[in-house]
Amino acid sequence: MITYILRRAASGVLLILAVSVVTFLIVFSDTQRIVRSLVGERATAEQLAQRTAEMGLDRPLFQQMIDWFANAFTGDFGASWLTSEPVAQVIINRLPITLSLVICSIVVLALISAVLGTFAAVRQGGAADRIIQIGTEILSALPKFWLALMLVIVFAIQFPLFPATGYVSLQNDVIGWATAVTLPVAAVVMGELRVTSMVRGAIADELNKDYIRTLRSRGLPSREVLFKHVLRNAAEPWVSLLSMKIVGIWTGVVVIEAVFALPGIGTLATNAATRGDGPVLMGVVVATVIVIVFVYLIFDLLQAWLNPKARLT
Amino acid sequence: MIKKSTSRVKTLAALAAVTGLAAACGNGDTAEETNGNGAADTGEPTELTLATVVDISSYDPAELRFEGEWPQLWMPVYDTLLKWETDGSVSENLATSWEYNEDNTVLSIELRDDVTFIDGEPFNAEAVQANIEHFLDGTGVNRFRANAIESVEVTGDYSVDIILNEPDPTLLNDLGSSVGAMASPAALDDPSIDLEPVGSGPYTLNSEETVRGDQYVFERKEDYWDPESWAYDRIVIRVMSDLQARMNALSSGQVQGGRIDIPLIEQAEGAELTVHPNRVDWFGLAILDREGEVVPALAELEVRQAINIAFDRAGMLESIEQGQGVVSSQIIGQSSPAYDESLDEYYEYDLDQAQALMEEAGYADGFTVPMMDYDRYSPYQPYVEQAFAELNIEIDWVPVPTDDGPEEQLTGDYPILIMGQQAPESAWDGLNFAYEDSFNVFEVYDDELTEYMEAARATDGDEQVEAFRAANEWLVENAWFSVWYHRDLVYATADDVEVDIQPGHAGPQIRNYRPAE
Repeated sequence: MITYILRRAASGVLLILAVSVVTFLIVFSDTQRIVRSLVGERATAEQLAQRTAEMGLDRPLFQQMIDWFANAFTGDFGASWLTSEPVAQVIINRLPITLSLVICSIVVLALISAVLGTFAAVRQGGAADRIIQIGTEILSALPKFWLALMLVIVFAIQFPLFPATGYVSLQNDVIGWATAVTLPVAAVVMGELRVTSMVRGAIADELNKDYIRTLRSRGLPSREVLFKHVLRNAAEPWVSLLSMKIVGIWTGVVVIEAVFALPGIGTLATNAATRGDGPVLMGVVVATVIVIVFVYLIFDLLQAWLNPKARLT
Repeated sequence: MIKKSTSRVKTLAALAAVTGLAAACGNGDTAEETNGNGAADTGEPTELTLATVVDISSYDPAELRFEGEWPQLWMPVYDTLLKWETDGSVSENLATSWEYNEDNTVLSIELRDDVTFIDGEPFNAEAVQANIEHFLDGTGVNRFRANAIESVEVTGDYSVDIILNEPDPTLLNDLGSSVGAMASPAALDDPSIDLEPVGSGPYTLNSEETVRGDQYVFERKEDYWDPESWAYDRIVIRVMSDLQARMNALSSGQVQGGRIDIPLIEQAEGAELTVHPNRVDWFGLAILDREGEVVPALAELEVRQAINIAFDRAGMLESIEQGQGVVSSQIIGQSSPAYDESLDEYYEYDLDQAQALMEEAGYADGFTVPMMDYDRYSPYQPYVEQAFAELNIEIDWVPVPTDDGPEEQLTGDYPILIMGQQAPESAWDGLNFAYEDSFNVFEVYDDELTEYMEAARATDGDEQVEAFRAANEWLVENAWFSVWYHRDLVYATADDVEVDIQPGHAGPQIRNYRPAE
């Protein structure tokens, strides 16, 4: 198992390095526009050159990259060109917001999809099965920003139960944090409920297998068959689905953060990308890849625990 | 000012507008419940919470910006030498009096003697000198505004002379903004000033509650020298770049003021917000190739005038901006002393006359002109194409990526540009767009216009206003632009605040707000 973990961790480090190099080359190969935007359209060529030198962008690209990696290994990702803040601090401030959204969303989605999927599978072909399948499909088909807006209008403006925008730190105020993330998490989860149908399908497949009939013919109670055998065997595809969803949710959270004015990684990435804030963009990419590599490692371990054969692949 | 109206139906209409569905339920009376602004007469601390579109890049005075809503983020912590009034004039602030010499090349300023920066350093003439020299050494966006400043001489403990290399008609205005923002001289060279302002303003930045990129919190300073000018004890500025998020925060009472867009006016009124239109930008064509270097036809006055009267300005204002603005033919806005109302409708839509003018100029069969196909102005392109087609002018649209647009405009490859430009309070700033500014791409200088502009530069008072107005009239008559209209920017406020809109700026200054009576 330890070899397995080390192998996965090593491939994760290589991925982080490769993505960082490619991103650096893309972002830093053309920095004149950001410098121009910082000094303004009316700046003279001398002022443009002065700012370029102050930002260290007059050095050869390869030299800049070596310096960036040398500093990054010590935890210094530079300072934002747009807000002067240390990038590491920016990431540390914003990561908990996005992680709150993503982790809460995946937990709620896992619970809802498991409960509804199981319920629908057990009642295959019945009214409840159809309602769950159609309902979750419809919700999943709606754009997330629209769902988010509807939730805000109804639950923050019409009936002011939750804040329309903003984030409250979990450390400062647990209740405030919970109310701040409720609507964003609801919007994310509603938009991802298609998972329920997939869970339902996995459980239904298990329920229709021969060994289940055998177990039932031996007189095992349905509850025992379901919880001890069916769910355990259906858990593996469910975990795979969630691991894929977590990446989808992470990348899709940009829209939700914008609608709810949440200062998370998504908002940061959008601003940095559209305005060309190289150091922040690098920090966001590295942080995102680390999180995703870590998440996949966790899910891989979970898979390996559920199915020992997976450790060999 | 468009006054709010309370309507459940309108709230629902707003819902339907967003959703595309005409059904929902609820009521729209939630704004009062969560607004955090206490009443001043009860002695409770008062708080003002605003949303801004922009974020501040640095608290280094050399990097401060004065456009749009930026001053909301730094004016609470930095005093300026002069201060802007809402009628476009400037008045005393840290400077108690000022006077130009005969040829407007030396500005003598007397300063307050009772001001201290938050680090304990005194505000005095040496502080002014250090700040302006720091600004001159910098490379901020507004560095060009100090181009006329040659040096600053200390003439007393609390008096300075600002020496200019040429008269600068915008200097007084600029001393009320970033050029005149004063920080402690001891902090100017400390990199930490990027994040921690060290000024003498009415508030201090609460670093613990401030989260860059999200919200800025300012707390009132007890010993400020002019507390009456600032109504609130605590200011919270929330950065919200997303329009719908701002609208939601305003509708739910989380913020008390913020910019919205014209399509959201009805929704804002339905949410019991007060809507303040503010004419900030002009839209139209900049006919840059005034001597016909690339397209010879544009050297002909009749051709430029034909272009001007080929646009149905009123129709464009209605269809593009839902009527929020005013039809105009001048680049000067209403808040500027150079504004002349009679010039707004100088060019009236008349296709027959436009075609006749083209024929008179010998271009009845038209010509071809290259123009930027640039997404910033894509909503206007069909209107330009349609109007030009009536004059047989063919447009060769050159696709330009969004990022390249600002640079591409100045290359000289495009004789005509579609433009949306600020119509500033400063007449010089507005008119200089056609004179020494980088947007005079083909460097066309007319003797008569030069005479007016130089007269404006060298004078002040009524004489200067007269020169500005003459230059403005000349520009309209000679059709160097084809302005269609001046568009409103829209600012919305909750009913527990009153605000005076700052002409020419997207966001009012913080000192313009006060609790509603």
